[in-house]
Amino acid sequence: MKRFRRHGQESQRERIKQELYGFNKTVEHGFPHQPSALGFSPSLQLLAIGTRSGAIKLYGGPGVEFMGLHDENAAVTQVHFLPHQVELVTLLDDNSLHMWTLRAHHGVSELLEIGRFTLTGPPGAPPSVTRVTAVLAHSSGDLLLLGTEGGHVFIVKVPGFRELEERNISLEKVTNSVPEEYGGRRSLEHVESLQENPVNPRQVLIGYGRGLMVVWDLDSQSAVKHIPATQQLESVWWTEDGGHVLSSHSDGSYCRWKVAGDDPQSEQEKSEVPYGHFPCKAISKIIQLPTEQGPPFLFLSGGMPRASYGDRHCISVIHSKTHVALDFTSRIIDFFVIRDGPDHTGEPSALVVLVEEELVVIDLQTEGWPVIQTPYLVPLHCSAITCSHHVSAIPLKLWERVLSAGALQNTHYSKKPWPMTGGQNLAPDPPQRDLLLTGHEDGTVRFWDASGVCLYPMYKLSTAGVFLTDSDPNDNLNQGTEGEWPPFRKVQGVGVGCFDPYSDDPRLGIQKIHLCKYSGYLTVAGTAGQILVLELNDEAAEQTVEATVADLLQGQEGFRWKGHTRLEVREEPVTFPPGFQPFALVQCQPPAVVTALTLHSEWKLVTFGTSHGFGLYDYQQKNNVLVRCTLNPSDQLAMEGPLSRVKSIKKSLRQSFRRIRRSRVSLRKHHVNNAAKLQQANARLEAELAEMELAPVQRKIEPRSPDDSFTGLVRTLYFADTFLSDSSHNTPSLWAGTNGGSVFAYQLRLPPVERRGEDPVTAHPAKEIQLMHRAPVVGILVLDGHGSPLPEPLEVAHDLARSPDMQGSHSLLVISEEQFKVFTLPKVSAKMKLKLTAIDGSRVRRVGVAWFGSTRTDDYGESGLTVLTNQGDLHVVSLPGVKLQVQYPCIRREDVSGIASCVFTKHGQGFYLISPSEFERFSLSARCVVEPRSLVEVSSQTPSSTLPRAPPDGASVEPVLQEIQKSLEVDQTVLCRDSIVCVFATGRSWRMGRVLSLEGRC
Amino acid sequence: MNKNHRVPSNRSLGAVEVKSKFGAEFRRFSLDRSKPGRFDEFYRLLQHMHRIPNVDLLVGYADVHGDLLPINNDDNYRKAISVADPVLRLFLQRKEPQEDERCGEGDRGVLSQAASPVKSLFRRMSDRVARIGKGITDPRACSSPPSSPLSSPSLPLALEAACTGRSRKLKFSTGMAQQHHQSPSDSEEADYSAFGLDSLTRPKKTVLAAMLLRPDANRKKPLVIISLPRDFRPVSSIIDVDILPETHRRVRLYKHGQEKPLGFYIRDGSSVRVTPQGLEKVPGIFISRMVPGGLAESTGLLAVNDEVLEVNGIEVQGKSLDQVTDMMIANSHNLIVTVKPANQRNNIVRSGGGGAASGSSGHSSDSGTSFYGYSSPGIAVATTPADIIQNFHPEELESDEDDEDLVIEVDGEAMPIPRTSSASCTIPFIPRYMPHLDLRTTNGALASHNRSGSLGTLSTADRGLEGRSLEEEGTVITL
Repeated sequence: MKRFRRHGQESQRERIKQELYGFNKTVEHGFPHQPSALGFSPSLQLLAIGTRSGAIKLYGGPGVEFMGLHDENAAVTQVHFLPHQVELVTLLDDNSLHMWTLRAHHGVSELLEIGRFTLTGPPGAPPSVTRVTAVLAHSSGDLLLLGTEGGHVFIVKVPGFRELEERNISLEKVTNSVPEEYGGRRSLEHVESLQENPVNPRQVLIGYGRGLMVVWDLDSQSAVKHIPATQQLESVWWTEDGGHVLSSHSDGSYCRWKVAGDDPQSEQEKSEVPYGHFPCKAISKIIQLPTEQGPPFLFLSGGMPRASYGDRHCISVIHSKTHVALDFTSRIIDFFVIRDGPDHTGEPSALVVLVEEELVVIDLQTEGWPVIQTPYLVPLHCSAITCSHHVSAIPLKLWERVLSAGALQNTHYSKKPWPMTGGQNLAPDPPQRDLLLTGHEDGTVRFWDASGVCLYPMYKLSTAGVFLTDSDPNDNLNQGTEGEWPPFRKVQGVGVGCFDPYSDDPRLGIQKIHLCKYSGYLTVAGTAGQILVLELNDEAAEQTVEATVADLLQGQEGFRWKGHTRLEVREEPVTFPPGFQPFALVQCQPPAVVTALTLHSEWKLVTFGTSHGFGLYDYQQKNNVLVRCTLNPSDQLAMEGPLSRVKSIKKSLRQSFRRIRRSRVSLRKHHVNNAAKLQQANARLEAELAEMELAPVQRKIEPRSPDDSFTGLVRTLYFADTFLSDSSHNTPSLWAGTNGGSVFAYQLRLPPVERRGEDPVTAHPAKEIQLMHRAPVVGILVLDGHGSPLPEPLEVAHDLARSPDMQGSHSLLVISEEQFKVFTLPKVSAKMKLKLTAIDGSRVRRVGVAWFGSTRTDDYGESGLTVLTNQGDLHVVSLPGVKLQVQYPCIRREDVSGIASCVFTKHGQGFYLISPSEFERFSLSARCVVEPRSLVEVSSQTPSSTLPRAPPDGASVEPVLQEIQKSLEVDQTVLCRDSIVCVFATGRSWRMGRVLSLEGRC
Repeated sequence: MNKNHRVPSNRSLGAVEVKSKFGAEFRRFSLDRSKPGRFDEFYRLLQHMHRIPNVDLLVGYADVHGDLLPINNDDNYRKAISVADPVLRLFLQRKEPQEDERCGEGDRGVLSQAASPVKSLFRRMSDRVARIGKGITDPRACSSPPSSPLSSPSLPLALEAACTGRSRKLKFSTGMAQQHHQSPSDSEEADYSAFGLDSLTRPKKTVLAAMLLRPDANRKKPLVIISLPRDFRPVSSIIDVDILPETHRRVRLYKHGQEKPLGFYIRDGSSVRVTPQGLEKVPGIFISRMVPGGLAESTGLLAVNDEVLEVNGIEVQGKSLDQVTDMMIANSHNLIVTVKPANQRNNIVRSGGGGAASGSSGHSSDSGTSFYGYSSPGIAVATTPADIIQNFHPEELESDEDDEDLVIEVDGEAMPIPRTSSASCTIPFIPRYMPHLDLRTTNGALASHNRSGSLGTLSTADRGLEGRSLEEEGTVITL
């Protein structure tokens, strides 16, 4: 009976677990690592980016995001949307073509792969025959033209990938239909470009690598015209009126050819080398777009003079008299232009450039062509991310103040809205305002709006101004001088065009951040032992930052710090812009990297720790309350600083090089002597190799000893108002945990509020715990009488948390890398524990406290610990019972930087870096999930968009169609908030049925 | 610890349960205790029960000590019935005709299979004797209460059986074991000489018989009854011998907080496993290196290239090298590794030249534990005997030492976290805690700055120096 009941309880517990926990990787924030291809659908208003790792990401309006991954681990080389449809085709490095579609499922679109295809040539043909170099998605929507390295063009029917062999355009057919002097003996080389005639979709321009271009008629299957260019071809553009073709070439020139008329051979109208005289690099892409009045826009990528500016990554925009060479900080992958108008055939409105490290959008309709701030794809890695900190549920007041401070920094952006509008964002508004703070190597802290699907930059704080650094901030602001040619314009801004991997001074790097969301106090700590306390101020202010030195060694002898020196503080007052302004600075001595940092805004105390010890700083009175050395005198590494370790690496490297050289020398000598000795040497080498194989990686089994390195390193610091020394009076306390498994507890005495400014704060040592297993202490937490974690400072004062239970007995939870252990308070005795490492060999790397709400009822929830292990697994451990609840694999265990970058939120979500520039967001909570929910629909509008392209018979269909459209649009506008995208294609009557059926589904 | 003597309360019952094993097959039946009958009737009954009417058998039974004793006449048959408590466990073996000894290689496999129980018994026995040769004894066997009515009658038998094989066995321990195992069809396998002491069942008593098998030098000495030992502690033991396959060995290393390193390395490797698909190469974890003078080496129970199968009862298959390393380190205070020894012939003796000679390397005694005696750590280093404990109880593991985190109450009393009554357990902390203490004591500035009462005084020397400050601050350290 008893057993039966327990079984029932267990199954009930299982049900509750399902209501509380659920693991999802929801969205990737930031900029894709190593982008390799760009595609754009004007009709869907969606942008697609393919990456070298085979990922494909689609972006529309803010919040509309899709992501897919090819099974093959091959780079995406080309992305093409099928015109006016929701399908897109990707070409991978391995010559495979993949068809993707956005399929609506439960009201939300999903990106699905629906087909794959690889061209197969005739038996025995070299692979180059079918190696795809150019792809044209024909505007009819059901043809794909594939130009290959062998010079053939294959025609494939989509979406089934059915080869239409009889319509293939072989090299022979082409050479037969052009005059002898162009074809004949000379190879035309690969197909470089395929372009459709904008006014006659039955005509296709085939550009061959050697320069020859041929206008091919798909119906008559013959060449109508040829363009006899002689330079190596880079790209081709057919002007919108169909009258001209622009070709760009590898020598930095571009030509305009007239193709209207009946003459089978086109004439060259113009040939120009824009950055002329000296040899230039190739113009890799050319686009020309008309404007309603006045001259057209011309966009050229590359073409810079090889010798002087060959290393620049430039796109030149030429419009009338304006000529600007936009100078990007990284390699250009591709670009396109967004056009105005209901069917996106009007004025060019924005230039979208994908460079290797960011996406830049330039407003072409505002004077000076300013940059438009991107709502997504922001480069998180302008400077390398060194740490991150997440604050949930920001009060509106603070949120607005941070936003307004950020707005003042972003005045140079265009006021225009984001030009990409595809899809509808159906995700519910985020329930709260969340802030993600990232610390960077250059000493900046960036504030991101992490409430929703888009990680949006809010504000950037720089701490470098407090210190004297070698570089002058004005150094890199040398804008192009008057009359310079080419007319460079650096594309630079905050978040956009700002990718700068070089940091001025590595000591400025931010290592720890703590923000109090109620008081607006922020503390940041850095690589050179600097701890800054900052306050949010809406006005600019000039002030001197007072520095206090904390000597963590406390006169410890035998110490020699060989690491970097302390940062020098500016003596003179510094003007700080509105936002977070530093008012206090602590500098640790020795200036080792700060490893733990906590702020208590109610007590106005900051505590910090390094590998040498920890300190407590009163930022109201601006003095040190406590300094404690945790060093173990036998720990030479911590004593000397990071340099000694570097030296040892250097030494071992040198040794291994010597060994290699020795073996080489001996080999060579033998070689000179005779063959027998060579054999001998070979045998010995083999034996050595075998030995190396016999002695693989091995691990020493040795328990931790106090002599291990960095046992004194402070891993965690914690403030708690609890029963430290007697069970009737709770007092403020400070807890510190070290790498060597020690916990130090101090009782704090704070003067009454009215005397807080004068009377000193004191700290008395109260307890020390040495964990038997000596594993590093990674977290300390006090649980109240109900077993729930103590609230954050000021949380109760702001009525945002239930005041902790001070009646029952508190308990102390010490989380080491190996186990979770609960002790009673005030008498510290072990109550219960959960062993982790002893059971499955994984160790705690990151731990956070989270509240898990139930999906079933709003009023039920549990506190739990969210844990990330060194194996990359996520665990949830219940509180206060420390029982393992769920376990999910999340990060590859080899991905050390991903595991190290993980940060948890208070509601069971988390972030980790999947590349230097991307955060993956995951959720452990079943209730609190932030994921993109968006719908992309194929719908139609007035078919006027098809007018220029419509064949003569389309005109008669139009009025009927418009009628149908109008009636349908009534429903549409009710259904959709955002602008509806047109998918209507050619205007042929048979397509009507398709459009109607699509409409019916909407 | 003396839970091993099961009181034969059922003996008064009329029936004797018999569990008879032949090859891989078991038969169960019962006999009337009061009327056991004659041996030849019993013999035919066995042949009938196992349906092997025409097979010549050797009949053996396991006595209370787990020793395998023969049944071949009416007397020892009756004895076996009388001591069954309540189960009589029989082991039947095919009596091999002489000519089979010289059969070819092909037949040998079959033969050795048939003879496998004997062989395994024999091997265990020889191992045991080898250990005895090294002077390892189990004092618990000696300390078994003489009041047990069963131990004494069986003793002569065990002694007799053991003595018959003695000369041979002593040879094994000096390096001959290998040779004997290479000839599995040797006649002695099918001989009653195989019987004797064994580790079949409740082996904590088996060494009683082994005690009598000491090398000759020791033999003259009268049996010394050793009381519960207090002067030594075990540093390692083989456990769970009865539940593990013979090819595996479960070794427990006791760290006891001492400074001696565990001292071994592990590596990745591959081993061959039998799977439903046939033999398959699977990744495994192996011992790659022993640190000279380390605990692992000095036990002689682990060796290079032994495959690690489990760590503290958890299988390591599918775990990475780093995971297994972390598991071992996390359990280092009480590490139990199950290995598949690379050398399957000699499952216990492996360090040193083998045999009695290696007894000099400090494998002097087996031990219980005394924490009180741990005043000089040198003893523990010097004495590194192997101890065999069977019926290992996992709950013993849970009374582990990692609960004993050291808590120091700066303004109250300092104490180890309770749970174990043995306060002296924390003494081993002292050497390790010293550095911190040194730091504090040398660090007067710090102490005077913000610390009341540095408690850096655990060793008596320090206590003498800082006695005053202790008094002043009222810091009491209870260990």
